[in-house]
Amino acid sequence: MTLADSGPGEASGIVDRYRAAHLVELANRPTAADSDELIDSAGAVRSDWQDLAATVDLLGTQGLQARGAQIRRLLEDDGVTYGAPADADQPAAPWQLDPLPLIIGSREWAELSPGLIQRAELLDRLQADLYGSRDLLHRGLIPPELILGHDGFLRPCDGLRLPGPNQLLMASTDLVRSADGWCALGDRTQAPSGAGYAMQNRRLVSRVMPGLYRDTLLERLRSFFHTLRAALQEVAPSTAEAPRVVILTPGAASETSFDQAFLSTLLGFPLVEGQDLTVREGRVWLRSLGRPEPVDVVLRRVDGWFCDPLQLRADSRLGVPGLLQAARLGNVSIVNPPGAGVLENPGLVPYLPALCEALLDEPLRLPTVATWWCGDRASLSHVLSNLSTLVIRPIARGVGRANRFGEQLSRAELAELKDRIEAEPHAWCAQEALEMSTTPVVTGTGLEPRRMVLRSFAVAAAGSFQLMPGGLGRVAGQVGSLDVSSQAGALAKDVWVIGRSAVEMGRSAVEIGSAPSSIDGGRARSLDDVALVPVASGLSSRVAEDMFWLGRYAERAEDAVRLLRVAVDLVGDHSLRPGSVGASSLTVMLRAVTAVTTTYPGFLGAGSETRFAAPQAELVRLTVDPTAPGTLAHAVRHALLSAHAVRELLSNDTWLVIGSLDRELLELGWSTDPELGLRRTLSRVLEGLLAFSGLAVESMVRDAGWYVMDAGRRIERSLQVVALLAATLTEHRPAAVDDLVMESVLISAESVITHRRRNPGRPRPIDLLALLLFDRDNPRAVLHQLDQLGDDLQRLPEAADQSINPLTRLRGVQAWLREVDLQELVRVDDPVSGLAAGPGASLVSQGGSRPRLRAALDRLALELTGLAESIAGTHFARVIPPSPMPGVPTVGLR
Amino acid sequence: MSETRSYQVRHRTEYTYGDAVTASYGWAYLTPRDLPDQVCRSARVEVSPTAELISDSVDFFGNRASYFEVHEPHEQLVVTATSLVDVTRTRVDLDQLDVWTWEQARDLLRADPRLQREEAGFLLASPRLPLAGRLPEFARSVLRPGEPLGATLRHLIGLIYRDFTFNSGATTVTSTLEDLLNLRAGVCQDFAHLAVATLRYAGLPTRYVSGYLETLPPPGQPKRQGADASHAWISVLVPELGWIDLDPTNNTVVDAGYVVTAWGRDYTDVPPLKGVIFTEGAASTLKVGVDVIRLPPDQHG
Repeated sequence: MTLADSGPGEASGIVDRYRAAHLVELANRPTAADSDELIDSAGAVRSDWQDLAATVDLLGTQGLQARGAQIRRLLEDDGVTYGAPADADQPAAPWQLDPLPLIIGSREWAELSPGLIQRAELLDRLQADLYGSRDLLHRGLIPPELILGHDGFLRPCDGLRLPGPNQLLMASTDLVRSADGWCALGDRTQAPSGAGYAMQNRRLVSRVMPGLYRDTLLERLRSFFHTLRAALQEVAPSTAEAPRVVILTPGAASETSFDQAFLSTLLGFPLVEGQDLTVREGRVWLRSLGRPEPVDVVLRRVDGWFCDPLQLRADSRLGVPGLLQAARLGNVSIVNPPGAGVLENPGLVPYLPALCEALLDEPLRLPTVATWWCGDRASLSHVLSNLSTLVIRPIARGVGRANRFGEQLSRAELAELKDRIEAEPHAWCAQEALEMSTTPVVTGTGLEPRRMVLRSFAVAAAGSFQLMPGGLGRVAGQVGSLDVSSQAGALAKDVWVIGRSAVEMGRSAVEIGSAPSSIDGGRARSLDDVALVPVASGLSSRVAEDMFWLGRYAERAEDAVRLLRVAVDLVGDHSLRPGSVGASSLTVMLRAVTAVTTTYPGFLGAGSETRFAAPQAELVRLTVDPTAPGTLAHAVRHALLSAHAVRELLSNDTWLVIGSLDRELLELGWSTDPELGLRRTLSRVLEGLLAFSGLAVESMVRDAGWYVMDAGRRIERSLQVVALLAATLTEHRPAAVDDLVMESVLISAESVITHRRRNPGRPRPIDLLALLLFDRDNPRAVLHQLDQLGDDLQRLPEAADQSINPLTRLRGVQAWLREVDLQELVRVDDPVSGLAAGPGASLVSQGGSRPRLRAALDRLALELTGLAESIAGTHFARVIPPSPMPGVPTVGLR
Repeated sequence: MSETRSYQVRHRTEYTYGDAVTASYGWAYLTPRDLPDQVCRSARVEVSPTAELISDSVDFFGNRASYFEVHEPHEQLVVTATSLVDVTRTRVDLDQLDVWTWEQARDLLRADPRLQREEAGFLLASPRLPLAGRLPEFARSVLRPGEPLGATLRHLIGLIYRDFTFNSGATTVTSTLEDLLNLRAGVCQDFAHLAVATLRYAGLPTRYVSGYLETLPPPGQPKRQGADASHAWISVLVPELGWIDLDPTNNTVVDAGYVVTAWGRDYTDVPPLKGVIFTEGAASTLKVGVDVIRLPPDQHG
C-alpha cells in the first residue's frame, strides 16, 4: 500500500462518513475539537492513521464487516471468553474485539510512557510505605482515615516485604485522552487483568488485517511477557534455587479466566486454585499428581482479602490457609502483595502530586482526573454542592458500590447519596466527568465514533518498571455512551504503538527470524507471538482430574455420535415397515441406545411405546438436550467445560475443532425441523471430535496430563463397548434380525470393515466378541484399551498413597479376561428348560439368552468402574474445603 | 510506687469434633502484652496433637500472635496457653476528666499527634461495628450535650451495666450490635462492642481490649479450677492521660486485677483463638477453661 495517494483530504467513502459522524458527535457536546483518535482538529486524518484509513476505504463496508465476522469466528475458535457464565454448566460469553486497531504514534507514546512508569514507581513506593513504616501518614502527607478506613488496607499484611527492590510487580493505569492530552482515571494494583487479552487481541487483529499489520512499523508485545516472567522468578525467596512460580486463580468460573489461562500459557507457569495449594511447616506446596512440590512465588489473581481464610476472609474458599504466615516467614513471595488493593483507592488522587515529590523527588508527570476526597472538609463541601455534575465513587470497590454519574441521578437519588456521604465522608470521593476521545469502531453501517479507555501494563524491571507498548484498549458499546465497561457492552481494541525507528524495526526483524513463525495448525503465527513456554510439570491433581474427565467425555461423545448415527439410519430405512426384520432389529438398537446412553426411560421404560411410534423425536432429544446426562449434548458440553478448566494445557487449535460443537447442537435444537438436519449435525460433531482426538495424538506433549486424559478415554471406550454388547448380544433372536443387529453393532463400534475382511460369512456373535473384546490389535477392543491404559498408568508419577494401586487392579482384570472361554460365553440357554443348549445352539431359532455373557459383561463393567475409582483415589486429591474453626466467644465475668 | 501483682494465667481451649479433622491451622491471641503497667515474664502456647509448626509474630496493633499448624488427623484439638505476668496498673480517677466536656475533649483530640497515626483508625467504623443502624440513636441517648467527659464515661458504662442483662446464652460469637440492642442482653464482648461504638460515634478514639480478669471465690471457699474466663473491655483516648481502660460489663475502671492480651478495632481483630480446619464433619463441641491465679509476692521478681 502506498501512502502518497491517501492524504488527509483525499480519504473518501467510509472515512468521510466517519468524519461527518464525528462532527455530529462534536456538535452534541461542548468540548474542544481535538477529540477523535482518527480525525484531528482540522478534520484531517492523523498522520499515523493514514495507512489504516486507506485500508478502511479499500475494504469498504462489506470488507470491514467480513473482518468483523472473521474476528468473531476466530474468537470463538480460540475460545476467548469474558465474564462469569450465567450458570455453572454454561460456557462464558465470547470476548468482543473490534478488527481495527487503536493507533498511538511513536512520539505520543514516548511522551506518555515516562508518566506511566513514574506512576508505577510511585505506587510501588506507596505500597512499601503503607505496609512498612507508614512514614507518609506520620508526616501528614496522607490523611490516616484514607488508608485506615479503606477495606483494601489489610492489617494482617502489615510488614510483609518482597525480596528485591520492588514491592509491586505489576501496575496498571486506566487512561483516557481528553482535550488536554492523556489523563489517568485510576489504577489497578490488586491483580491487574488484561495483559493476556491484549496479547490475544494482537494475535487476532494481525490475522484479520494482515496487510496493514505487515506494513506497519510496530512495537511488539512479547518482551513485556519475558520481563514479567523474569520478574516473577527474581522475586522468589533467596533460598529458592530454581524457583517455582504458580498463578493462583479463583477458578474457571471467574470473569477473566481466559486472561489467566492465557497468561499461564504465555509465561509457562501452572494455573492453580486455592485447593491445589497447601501450607505445611510454613511452606507452600502444590498438591500435584504424585508428590507435593514446593512453591516459591504465587502470582495471584485472587483478590487479597480472599487469599487466606485463616487471617483474612474466614469464609473464603479461594485462598490457602497459612499463606500469609508462609509469606511472613519469607518462604513464599505473593505478587502483587495481598494488601496492594489499597492503592486503587481513588481518594489518594488529590495527594499524588505531593506524594510524588516526597517519594521520588520529582513532579508528577501524568495528570489524573480531578478528584475530591470527601474526608477533607473543603472537598466535601465542594462535592456536596456539585453533586449533580460529578462522578461519585466510593473509595473501595465492592457490592453496591458502583460509580454513579451525578447528572443521571434524580433529585431523590441525589438527596439519598448526599445522606450516605455525610454519614461516612471518608468513604467517598468524587471526580470530574471527563471528556474522552472517540475512536472508530466497525459496525453494520461502516464506522462509528466510540469513547475509549486505555489500560496500560507496567512490570517491575531492575528497580523500575517496563511498559507493555500500548496495552488493552476498550471502547464503549454505544455511540455517545461514557460508560466504557464490560457490563455496558464495551469492546476491546488492539493497541498499536508505532515503532520508534528503523533500528527498532531491525530488532523486530531479528525477533521474527527467531520466532517459530512458519505454520501453526495451518495458520500463520503473528509476529507478536511469544514462543509459548511449556507449562512446567507440577500438574495439580485437580487439573489431572479435569484432564481425565476431558478424555472420558470426549470419548463418550464420540461413542454416542456413532450409536445415534446408526440408529438414525435404521429409523430411516425400517421404521415404516412394522413386523419386518428391519423393524425388529430397529427395536433392538433403539433399546440399546437407551441402555448404552443410560437415558431411561427412553425406549425401555414408561412411555416407550409413544417413543417407538416416532423414534426420531427421542433421537433428536438425545442429540441436543445438554441438561440430561447421557445425551450427546451433555457429553459435549462437559467435555468443553473440562477443556476450559485446563485450557492452559491444551493447544489453541482445540477450540477450533471443538469450540463450536456445543453451539452447533443447540442450534439444531432450536431449528424448526431438527430431524431434517440431524444426520448432518451428527456427522459434523463426529468430525470435530475426531479432529480433537487426532490433535491429542499428534500435537500434545506426552506429559502426565496427557496420560491421564488418555486413561480417561480408554476406560470410557471400554465401558461403552461393554454396554453396547450387553444391550445387543445377550439375547438370542431370529438369525435375520440378529444379522442386522450385529451389523449395526459393528458399525457403531467402528469395526465393520475389519470384521468383513476377517469373516467372509454372516456375522456370528463369537466373532463379534473376539473382535470387540479380545482382539489386542483392534483399537476398538476392550483388551486393547486395557493394554493402553496400562501404558498410561505406568507413565504417571508415583502416588504418595500406595495403598490402592490401579495398575495392580488392572493386571487382575487383564488376567481374568484372558482366561475367559469365548465358546462358553456365547452358549445360549433354552428359554423353557433354562438349560444350556447343546452344540446345536444356533438351531434355537427364537428366544433364549446368554446368561454367561451377561454375567461376564456385568463383571467387566464393574471392574472398569472400580478401576476408574482407584485412579481417582490414587491420583486425584479428594478435596475437603476449608471451614472456619467454630468461634470462641469472649464471655467474661460479671 | 504502686503494688505489683503477679499472676499465672492458664487458658485451655478444647475442641471435640464429630468427625476426623485432617488438618488444623490456628491463629491465637493468648500472650499478654508488655505495657508500661504490665510485664509478661514468660508465656508459652501448647497444641495437642503436636503442632508441626508454631510461630509467633507481632501484628499491626503490636499484639503478640501465635500461628500453628496440625497435620495429624485428630478428633480433638487442645490449645493451652500459660503465662506469668506482673501487673502494676492503678485505677484512673475519672473525676480528673471532668475538666472538659466530652465535646471539648473530642475537639482537643483532633490535634493530638496520635490521631495523625494508626490510632486514627480507632475513630472509624470497623468490621463488626458499623456506626449505623440503631447505634446512632442509642449513642445520642447516652451522649448528653455539654456533659463533662468523666461523667459521660461513667454514665455510659453504668447504663450498659444496669440496662443490659449479662446472659451467656443470649448472644453468640458473631452477634451484632443490632442483636444486642434488640435483646438488651449479652456478654462482655457485646458490652465492650457497644461502648466502643458509642464512643467512636462521639468522636472519641476507642479500642476493644481482650484479656483476663481475676476473680475471687466467695469468702471462705477455695477457688474452683477453670472458674475464670477470658474477658473484654474498652480503652478510650482522653486528653492528657492518654488511653484509659473501662469495663462496662462490671461498671468499673480497669485496675491491677486485669491482664491485657491484645487490642484491636473489635473482636474480629483479636479473638483469643481462631482457625481453619479440614473436615467433612460439621459437629463440634467447645470447652474453655481459664485460671487467673494470683501468685504469692515471694514468687516473683
